[in-house]
Amino acid sequence: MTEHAWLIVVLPLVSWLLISAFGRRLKNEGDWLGVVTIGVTLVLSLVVLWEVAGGAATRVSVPWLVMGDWQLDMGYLIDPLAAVMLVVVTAISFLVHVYSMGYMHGDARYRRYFATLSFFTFSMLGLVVADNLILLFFFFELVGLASYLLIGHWYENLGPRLASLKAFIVTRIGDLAFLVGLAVLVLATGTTGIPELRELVEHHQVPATVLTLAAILVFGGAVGKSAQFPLHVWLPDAMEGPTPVSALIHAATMVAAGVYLVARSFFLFEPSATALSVVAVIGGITALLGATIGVLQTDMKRVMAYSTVSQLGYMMMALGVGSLVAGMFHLWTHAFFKALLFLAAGSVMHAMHTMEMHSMGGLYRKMPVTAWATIIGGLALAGVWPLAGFYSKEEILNAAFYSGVSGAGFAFWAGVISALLTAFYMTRAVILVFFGRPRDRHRYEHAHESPPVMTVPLAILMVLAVTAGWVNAPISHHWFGKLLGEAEVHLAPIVTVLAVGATLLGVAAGYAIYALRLVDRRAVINALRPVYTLVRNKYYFDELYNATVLRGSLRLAEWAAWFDQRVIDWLVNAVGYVAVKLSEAAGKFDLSVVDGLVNGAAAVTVGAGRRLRTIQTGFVQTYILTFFAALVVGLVVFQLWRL
Amino acid sequence: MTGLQIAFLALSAVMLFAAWKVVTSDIIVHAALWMVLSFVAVAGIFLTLHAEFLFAVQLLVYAGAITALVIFAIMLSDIRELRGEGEPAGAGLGRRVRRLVSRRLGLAPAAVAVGFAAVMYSVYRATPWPGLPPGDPAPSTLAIGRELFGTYVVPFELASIVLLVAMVGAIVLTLREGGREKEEKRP
Amino acid sequence: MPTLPIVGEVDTAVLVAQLIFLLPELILAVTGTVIVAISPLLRGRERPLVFVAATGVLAAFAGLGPSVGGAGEVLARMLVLDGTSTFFRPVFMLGALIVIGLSPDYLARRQVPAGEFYALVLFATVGIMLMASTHELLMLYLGLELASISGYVLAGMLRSDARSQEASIKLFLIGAMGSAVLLFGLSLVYGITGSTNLVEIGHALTGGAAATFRPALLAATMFLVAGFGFKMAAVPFHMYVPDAYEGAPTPVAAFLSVGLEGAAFAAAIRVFVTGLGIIQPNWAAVFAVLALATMTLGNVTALLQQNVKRMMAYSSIAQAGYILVGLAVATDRGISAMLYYVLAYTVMNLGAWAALIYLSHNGQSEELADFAGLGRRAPLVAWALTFCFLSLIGIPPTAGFFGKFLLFSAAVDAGLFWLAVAMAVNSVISLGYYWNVVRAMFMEEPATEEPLKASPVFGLGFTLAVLGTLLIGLGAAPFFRLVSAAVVTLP
Repeated sequence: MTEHAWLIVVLPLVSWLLISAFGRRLKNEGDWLGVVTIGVTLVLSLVVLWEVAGGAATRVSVPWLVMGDWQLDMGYLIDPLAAVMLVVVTAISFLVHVYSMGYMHGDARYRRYFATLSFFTFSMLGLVVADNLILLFFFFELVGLASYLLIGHWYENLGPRLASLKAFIVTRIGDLAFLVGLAVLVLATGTTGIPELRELVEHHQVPATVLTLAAILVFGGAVGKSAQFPLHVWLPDAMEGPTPVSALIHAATMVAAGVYLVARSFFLFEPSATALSVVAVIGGITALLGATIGVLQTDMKRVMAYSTVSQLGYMMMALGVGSLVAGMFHLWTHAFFKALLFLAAGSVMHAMHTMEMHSMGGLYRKMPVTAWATIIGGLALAGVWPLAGFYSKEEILNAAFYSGVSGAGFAFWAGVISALLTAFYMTRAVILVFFGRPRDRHRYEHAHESPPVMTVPLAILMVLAVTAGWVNAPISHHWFGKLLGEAEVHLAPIVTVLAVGATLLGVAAGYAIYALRLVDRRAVINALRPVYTLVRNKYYFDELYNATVLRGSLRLAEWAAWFDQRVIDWLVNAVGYVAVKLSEAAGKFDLSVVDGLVNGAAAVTVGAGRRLRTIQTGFVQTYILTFFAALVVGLVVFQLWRL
Repeated sequence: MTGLQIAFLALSAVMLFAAWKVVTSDIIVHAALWMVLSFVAVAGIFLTLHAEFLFAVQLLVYAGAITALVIFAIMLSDIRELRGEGEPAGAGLGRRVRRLVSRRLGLAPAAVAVGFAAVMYSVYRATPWPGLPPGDPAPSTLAIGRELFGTYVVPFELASIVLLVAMVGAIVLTLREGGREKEEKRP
Repeated sequence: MPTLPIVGEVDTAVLVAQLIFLLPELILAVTGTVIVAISPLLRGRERPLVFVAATGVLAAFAGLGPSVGGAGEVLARMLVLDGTSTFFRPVFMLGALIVIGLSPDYLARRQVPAGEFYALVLFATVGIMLMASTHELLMLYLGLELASISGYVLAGMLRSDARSQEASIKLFLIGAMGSAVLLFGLSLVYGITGSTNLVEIGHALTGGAAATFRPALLAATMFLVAGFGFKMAAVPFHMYVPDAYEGAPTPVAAFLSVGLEGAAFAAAIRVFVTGLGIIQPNWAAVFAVLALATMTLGNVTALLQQNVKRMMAYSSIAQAGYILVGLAVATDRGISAMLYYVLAYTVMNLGAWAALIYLSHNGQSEELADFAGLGRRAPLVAWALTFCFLSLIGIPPTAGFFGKFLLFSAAVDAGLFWLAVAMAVNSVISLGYYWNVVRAMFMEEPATEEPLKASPVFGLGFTLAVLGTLLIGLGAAPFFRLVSAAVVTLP
């Protein structure tokens, strides 16, 4: 099967085309087509993983574009990393497809939704198997485009419209860095093929500075897509999309693309201590940032969103401290429990039609499956033994603990503190939503458990959220790590103690404040008012970007337009003004003439004759005059400019 | 200074003055007549440079045919005075002052023109020119004819297409036809 | 058969025999003349003329046959057969063909005289094709004038619309001045080198001559840059462009934006690289500055436009800025990237203009508001336009992406890192205004649900443009080979 891995990419593409073209005539608008296709790709991916675990690997590459001495190939590369990622993507995508049949039922653009979902999956799978960085960049962009379409699915409302645009533009800023990095690599090595590049780097054929520069630029792409500081602002807004899409984006596709990119090009980072430090520190900052903001959100989906930001920080941190396995392992476990949490949140949304946690409460009695899903997902996220998150988090903290990369110490403590905060806000969310007394009676009365088409995926994910971590635990003899090529695992008892301690402390604090009400949270808030305001406003990142980047570019645009259209008018006016002053001095002053003079070229005239006269005497003459003046200056400069 | 150089300078002065009057005349027929003078002066300059054929062409085509065409066009249109919205009207000192700073007539264009001339003059002076281009120093009409219908026959024919386009353009932009020319409001 | 005489130094028999290389231009010119001649006889039923014009262009394509693979200067050195001319001639014909296909509905609705329209488009195409395929300055200039004068007339063809008149007059006055400046530069070059053939000029400037005549040569270069700058719509010579494109009939604006601009780039490659290659650092530096100014001002100003036609005018200014990067780099890679981009630009830009033409002949104007809900009223057109926009932004796997990527890596390769980064930043900025239109089409409610109509001919033209954008992107390989072969090498 491994040799035919291209099928896995092509099938969703076919499904996208078929649903787009014939969906109208198909039963249920073709949703089953998407589900079946992704189901098949899931099975194929599992087969590929099985074969790869048995030692299979493949690389197929055909020349695509040739230009002079430069050649671009198209091909796919299946190795353990790609195989693992294929399973993650197809599995989550399949469950989201199934879940969506219930969640999106009756939506006005149901067909378009499923078509785009297929397209999204196709782009992500293409990214996973791409064997060279340019091809990978293609799919990187397509993933961005697809997520734009899905986030903006409900474009009638302002929120999704703005959010989708924000996601698209912010991630493209990162892509820009990636593109520049690609150019650097191509020029330094002449190739973009991943195995070829790896070969060159391992034989020290690439200068160290070039490598560092390229690695940091490529990481820029990952910062955009994986919502790392300082480009994390788009991800929480992306909540405006349908909840299953959020699950897909947060668990397996869009944001995973950035982490996967770093993992895929990890050989670029490994030799460069600087690049690794940058990754580790950015990851650490992101982890802390996301976790602290998550503590104060009152919208259930936003809590999840910031927790994703924080967890992505974890993954980057792991890669930054030099452990590919830890990063990918966390991506793997996170995919399952985060998808679970989002789909559960979607289920709550389906029942309550709101995401505001302060108007929920007591939902456990109404929706037990959803409640259990959230609890298990939350525990896995918090890292409670023996759930999935425990193993991956422990692995990351150990990697940071033993790492010699500078900045690893910061990363380690950022990780520990984030673990505490994560445990705290998940406890808070679970208690606020599912326990205590209902705060909004009306909504509570109408709440109900979701249909099986939605709860069955939840159940499957619950199982996975518990078990996914065992693949890299003593019980499986660290199968996952060995698959990805990690020789030995060091586990320091002190790290385990710290991690478990932080988690327990977080859970205990959450339970104490929100369930037992031992501490009045108002008192805490008041005591920490300035910090509270800062974090509650998400460190004012949006405001900062609005004030600088957004306003700045608008200013620039206005200025350019002004320059383009008004300078001429201004010149005319200035001439007119001087003329007025001079005629005043001369004592002869004809008001009507002066008016005409001042309005000059700007005057809007009616009728062709008048119009033409304005052109002849106003714009064109002034323009030509300006042009020749500039030409004279240009000639002089050019003569003096020695090149 | 030789007689030829004196003639060259005098003709150039006449040409420049006439050209300046073309741009500054308010009455358009006057502008056209000044243009004739400027064309004639250019023809004279060609003569001082031993380009007899160009002298003849300049007189016949520019001073003759083109000027006649321009004056016809002026007579057929209803434009008499060339003064737009922005131009100063009236008489006396104030008008003169205002003209001095206006875009079409005033100081700024003059300054740019002088600056341009100064730059180009220094460029011409700084360059050691390679003397006359190769070929017959005073090509006869026969030689020009041979070149035109030999080496340059393709551009010659191309020029005829340019003229055809100009003709089609003149007709299509000015023709008033009953059926086609309905006043249509923009949507 | 009577023997033909030898005129001057030219063997007339050879000249006549070589006319076969001029076949495409001859066919186009004859078709144009025939259309002008027969259109009065049709008495207003001018619709079938579109087929005459299209047939003429297709025949001209076929007429390229003898020229393909040829090399060297023919027709008394007036025409050059090489990779560049082999590349540009069909590209310009493709552009003309698409414009002709897009026009009939618009012409009928806005009462533009169709016969003259097609004829002038064909004549202008002759002009731009010759500009790209000659080493002779005289031919280059005549080709330019042929294209420009046709352009002035075409722009004024909405006779009852004051804005169209204004466009025509602005184009004429400023275009004439641009031509004069260019001619001045050419005359200086002739004065220095004593030749009007670019290859000869290149030879004449080697061996220290360039240093000797430096002041005059630099002045000439400046005039040439300015003269070509006008035709390329490069900042700061662009100011007439938005008014001209906004006022001109939409198909004309489309034609001007790809045809005339493309030809100016083709001719500039010949003049600067072949003729003035020896002072490459000088003009390349000016073009680098122009490229930066052009793309930035074009993109940033486009952000504020509410009228999509005007926005597209600024967009074509910005695109010209990207193409200028090729001249700023002026390496083989830069030039071939530039050629590829001109090709990509031709199809993607025409595709985008096509949507404007489509709205316009359905009785809508070109304000942003008119695009609201187009995704519902005319989904195919809306998707096609989105696709062309993606290409203009430079998102893979469209033709525009490859074009930008090639220019980009050429700039990095030549050490112009700042220019490459500016290009990438600009492409992000351009997202803002293109996406504005896309958002209006798909995410706003239409004012009416009335579906829009188009004739099959329009559909064909549109399909050609969009398919071109797709094919030149996805199947870029043969086109890469083409442009690599077409490079004019620096001496």
